[in-house]
Amino acid sequence: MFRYVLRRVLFFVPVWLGVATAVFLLVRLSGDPAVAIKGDKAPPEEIEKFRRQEGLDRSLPVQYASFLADTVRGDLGWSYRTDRPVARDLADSFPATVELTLLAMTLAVACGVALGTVAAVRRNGPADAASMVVALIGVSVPLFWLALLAMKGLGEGAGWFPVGSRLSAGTEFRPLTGIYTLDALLRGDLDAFSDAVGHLVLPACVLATVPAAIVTRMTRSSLIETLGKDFVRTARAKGLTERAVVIRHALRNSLVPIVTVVGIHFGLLLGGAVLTETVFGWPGLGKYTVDSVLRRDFHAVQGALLLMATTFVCVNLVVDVLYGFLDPRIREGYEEGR
Amino acid sequence: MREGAAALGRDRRLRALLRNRGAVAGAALLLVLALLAIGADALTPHGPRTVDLERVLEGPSSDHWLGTDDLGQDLLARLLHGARISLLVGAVSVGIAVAVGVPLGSIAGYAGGWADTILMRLTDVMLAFPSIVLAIAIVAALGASLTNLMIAVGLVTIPGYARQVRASVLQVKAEDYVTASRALGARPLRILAGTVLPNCLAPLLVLATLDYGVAILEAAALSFLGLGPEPGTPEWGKMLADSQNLFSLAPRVVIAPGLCISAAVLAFNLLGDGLRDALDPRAR
Repeated sequence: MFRYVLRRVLFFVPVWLGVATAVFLLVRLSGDPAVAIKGDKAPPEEIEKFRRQEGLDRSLPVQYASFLADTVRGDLGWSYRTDRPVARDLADSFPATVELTLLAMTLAVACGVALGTVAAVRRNGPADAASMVVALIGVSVPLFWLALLAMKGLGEGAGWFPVGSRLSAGTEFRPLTGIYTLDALLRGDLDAFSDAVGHLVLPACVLATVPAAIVTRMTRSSLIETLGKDFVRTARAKGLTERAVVIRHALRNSLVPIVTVVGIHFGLLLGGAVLTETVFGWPGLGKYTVDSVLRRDFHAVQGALLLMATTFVCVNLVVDVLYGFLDPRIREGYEEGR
Repeated sequence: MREGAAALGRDRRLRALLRNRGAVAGAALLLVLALLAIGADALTPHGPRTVDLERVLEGPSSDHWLGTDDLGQDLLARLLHGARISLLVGAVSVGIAVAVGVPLGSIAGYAGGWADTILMRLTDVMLAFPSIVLAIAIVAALGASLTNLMIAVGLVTIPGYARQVRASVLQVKAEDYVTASRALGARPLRILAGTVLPNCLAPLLVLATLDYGVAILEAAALSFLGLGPEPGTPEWGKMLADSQNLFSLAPRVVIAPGLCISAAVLAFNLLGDGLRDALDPRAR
């Protein structure tokens, strides 16, 4: 097991280097950052001065080396849009995305497993058909449109949910971890907690739709397969109630593919967060990325892309390790295979 | 003999596909969309960009079947032309992904060695980004336009094809009939194109169908974020972005483009799922 984990962790290093290189090149492909920041009407000497100041006049390999060195030290440069260090911006926006995606994933798994189980147990019945239709629609509807309808209809229109930020304007609140719901509980501030939850629920529900649909389909097919196995027949023959057979025996043995699918689709969730955050004005990493890209704020784009990819790679690493932990056949196959 | 068996297999798979209600519904929906897109100009007398400031945000009428938007443009005409753009975007994006990904995956799988290592590490790096985020970065690097949008969506889809084809090639490479044609002295390219690839087509077709929908979805999202065609283009995502503040005044202007995107993506998802059930014996 240790060798398996070590191999997965070592694999992380070259991928991360590749990611950093890709980010570095992508940002420099988009034309001269100096012109993007200073505007194309700026006098040439000013642009030249900016280029010298930012080190953009040096050769690409030198720039690359100093980019890597700075990044490893945690210095991600200066954001010209927010006029703050990029690292500080990211430290502020990242917890907002963590909060949103964690709640969305929890909702998605809860709904998906429940719907998928009902569909598998009542296979080919109306409940099965209905949940499959819902799941199919879930993966087909554009997320940003759903977000827009939810925000305009339920948020601004009906006024059921506060939208536009993480807390209502004028709320006095000093964050600890940056995950506001947790912070409010830690400080024992129940008003702030309910306010934060109110802001969080609608975007999280919207973001949960796609993973919920995927988990539903996965749970259904995985559970149907398990329900056909011999040990399920044995459990039924023992005279267990159908409920006990499904929940205690079959569902538990169907969990491995569900865990994997949750892990694999985490990237989808991060991508979805970009759209959901932008529509809802949720000040997370996704909105920060889009705003920085649209303003061509190159240090910020670099930092945001890097953090986004690093998070994704880390989650995949955890899923790989978890998967090997859950299913010994995988890590053995891995150790023999390579 | 082999021809006959192949025809029989095709026949069986076609019948399985036709029995699949979802696949038939998806194909029918797709056909309707394609016909609407082709006949856009015949179906409505209005142009998609004909501005009429005297008739702003009108409700549905016999003249404007779906009413007008905030510039007095005919909503139906814009939606129909949007279908053209979205179907084109999907085709070009998936085309790029297939055209680049299939050769790369075949080479990696067939040649193995360092070619395989390099290509697979490259896809690892690309897959380290959520695809929409990578697409955003690429469009930002290339500049916002419809062409660059299609290129970006196509590029981020490549790893999926490279990996799928590589896996299929590795599997097929070990089959006896490939060993046989190698023993008969066939050149690698001939074996690859004539024997290996035709046997990898089924999963590829399923992937391409499902990805067509994903490409439409991603392109609409990028366009919505302002990284697509120029303002005024009747592209569904762009229409949503332009009309988002009209929700309380005329919800249909916001609802209609989203329904169109959903319908198009749904059609490809239904067809793709159906194809997978019919073509992939393991999924049954």
